[in-house]
Amino acid sequence: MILHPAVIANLLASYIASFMVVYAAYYGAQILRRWDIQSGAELQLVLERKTYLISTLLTYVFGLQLLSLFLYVFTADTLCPLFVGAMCAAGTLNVNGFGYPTLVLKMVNFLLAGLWLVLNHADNQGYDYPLIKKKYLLLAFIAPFIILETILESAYFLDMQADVITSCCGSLFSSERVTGLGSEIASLPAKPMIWVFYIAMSITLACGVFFYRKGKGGYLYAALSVLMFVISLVSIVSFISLYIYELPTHHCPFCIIMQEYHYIGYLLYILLFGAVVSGIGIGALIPFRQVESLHSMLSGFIGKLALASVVLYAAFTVLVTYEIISSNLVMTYEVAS
Amino acid sequence: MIELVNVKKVFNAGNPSEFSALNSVNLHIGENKVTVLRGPSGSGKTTLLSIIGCMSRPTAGRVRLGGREISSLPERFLTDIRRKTFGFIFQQPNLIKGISVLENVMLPAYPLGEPRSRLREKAMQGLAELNISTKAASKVEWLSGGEAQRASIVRALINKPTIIIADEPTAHLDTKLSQRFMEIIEKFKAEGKTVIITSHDPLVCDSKMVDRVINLRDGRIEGEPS
Amino acid sequence: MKWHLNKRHALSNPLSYNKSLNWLLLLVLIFWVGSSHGEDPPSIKKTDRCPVCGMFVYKYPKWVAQIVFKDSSHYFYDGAKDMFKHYFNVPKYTPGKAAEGIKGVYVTDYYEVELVEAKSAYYVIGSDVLGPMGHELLPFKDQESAQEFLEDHKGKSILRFPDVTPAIIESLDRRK
Repeated sequence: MILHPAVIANLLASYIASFMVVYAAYYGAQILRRWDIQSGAELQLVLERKTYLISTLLTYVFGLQLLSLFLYVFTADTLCPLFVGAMCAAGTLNVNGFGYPTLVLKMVNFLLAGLWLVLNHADNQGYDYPLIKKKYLLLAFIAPFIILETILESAYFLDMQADVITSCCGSLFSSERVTGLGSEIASLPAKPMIWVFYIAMSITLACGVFFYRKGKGGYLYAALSVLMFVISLVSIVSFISLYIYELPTHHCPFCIIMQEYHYIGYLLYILLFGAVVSGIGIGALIPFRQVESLHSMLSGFIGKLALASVVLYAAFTVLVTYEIISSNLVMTYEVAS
Repeated sequence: MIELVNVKKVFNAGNPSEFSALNSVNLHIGENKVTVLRGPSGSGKTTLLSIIGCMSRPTAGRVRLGGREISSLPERFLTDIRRKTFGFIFQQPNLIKGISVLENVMLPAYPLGEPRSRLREKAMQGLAELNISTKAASKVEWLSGGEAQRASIVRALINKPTIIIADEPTAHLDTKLSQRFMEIIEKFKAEGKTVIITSHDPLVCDSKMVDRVINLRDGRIEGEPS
Repeated sequence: MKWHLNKRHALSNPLSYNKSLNWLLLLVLIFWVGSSHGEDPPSIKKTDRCPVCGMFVYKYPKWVAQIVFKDSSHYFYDGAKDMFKHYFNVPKYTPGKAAEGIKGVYVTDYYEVELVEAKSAYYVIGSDVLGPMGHELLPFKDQESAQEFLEDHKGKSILRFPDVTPAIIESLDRRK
């Protein structure tokens, strides 16, 4: 194991999160079984007190979880000088078999944690804990993922050997190698991909604005925002990265977070992840618009989520377009078969 | 108006020093009535009062205010109700030293965000009604016992609460001031407010404007069924 | 800068030097500067990246390789291996350019840490010394230093520039 402060921070955050989630899930199970707002029994009052504490704790834990995705990528980037062949996070993540699975799980948990935070915020606005069972059900669903992530992350960091030669991102995301998801995305032809990105984004934004103004089509927008999220990630590898690097063959999605590129990668990813979490949140809250205790505020909250999602996706598009326009790369040639 | 159903309050549950302050209290407090809770010290009067006034939650049982269940409310809602519905008068005036009487009186209204000028007007009006407007700018250390008590009453009224809660209000007042205090309570009743007082002062308990006296002993209500 | 010093030295003792000798010295120096100016390698900027893998070259000054084109564009690499990758497929990494447009190819001698002509260098492969891109071809300006290195670091063979093929490059990449 490499005793780097960032590594320790990652592991510590992960263990704390797992511990708190398990603790909370235990009481969550109790709440799911015994919650009865009408009863005046001692257990009910204890649970009412407990949920207040646990919700607060989980808010901080899941907030930490959101940050941990970026901390993880930052750590991988910081450690890359230690590994021969690694020049960015892509290489560091490849030093053993746990690096990339952990990343994928962290991305999934970012979305789940964001979803829980949205649900929790809505629940707190009602005077009779309207979403409490849904909230703890979601927690029970999330808990195994958090624990799995901690296990994989521990395996990754604890098993890290400094004397391995790892693949450089140039080969991981090269359009030549047929194997590997990275290459498959990288070898998608760039020009058609640009069209796909902009058309999909226009449809998504239009749907979002329509929902914001008319209140209809929320589920559609939620689904579109997830689709747009995937398309955006693919686009980053396929063509956005080329323009940022001004290199026609460099598709790596991790080099863009480096200082030399002004950390633009972080901004792009924050916008993207923020947009998709708000979008999913809309889909999760729409079924509860009729709940009495939430009646006055839920529509407003959903509206804010819609606005946030649309603005973030729009900002992402503006940033991408700026990078394309101001780049020295000119894509007039058919790049890389 | 206020309903307590099977309320139980236990302190330090599970420890050797576990103490049951209230046991199975069922109570109904009428609207626009003056109710006195009487009992020896340690009988649970103050605990009961604090549960009624949303200052603490029972260990078991439910509290309803105007038909609405309040003991299960999340903290932010409970705080909101407490701030708007109740006015508290304590044994000691509990005025904050170092700031003026006027500022003390305005204090409970700050979280509601009213414009300061309007708030000052309301406060001055309140002070005038109890004849201490001349002391508005004074430091609280300079007030006499009775003036301090009256200032604390004005403070309790600043948010126009419908329910007044007073915990042993006459404990540190002489007879004349105690009588003056009861006159103020009569005024509250005339204005439509509900008043709940804990006391073992006969002057309070035997007063003619008191509608009901509830006797507490060892955390239970004696005599009168709810 | 050498030239500048010489001139000062020459002028500071006007009485001890014949005036015509001064002018001769000056002419020689001008020609020396004039000829070497065309060979002066362009300096590496912080933003220069290897066109093959995108690595920032300034971080690895001891491994730098370079290709200069006739249109005076130039590219830096973080090792001889990437340089060869570009060399074998110029249009792939720099669309619009072709191998015919190459004016000069340079690599950094591993021992002397100075830029030498790639086409006349000696490359050791199979050694235990790893470059920024993993297994590398280590360049040396002469056979003796290449041989010395091969023995010290368990190298497998010494290659000349024409011996290097895409297959060899691929085998270096495949080695773990």
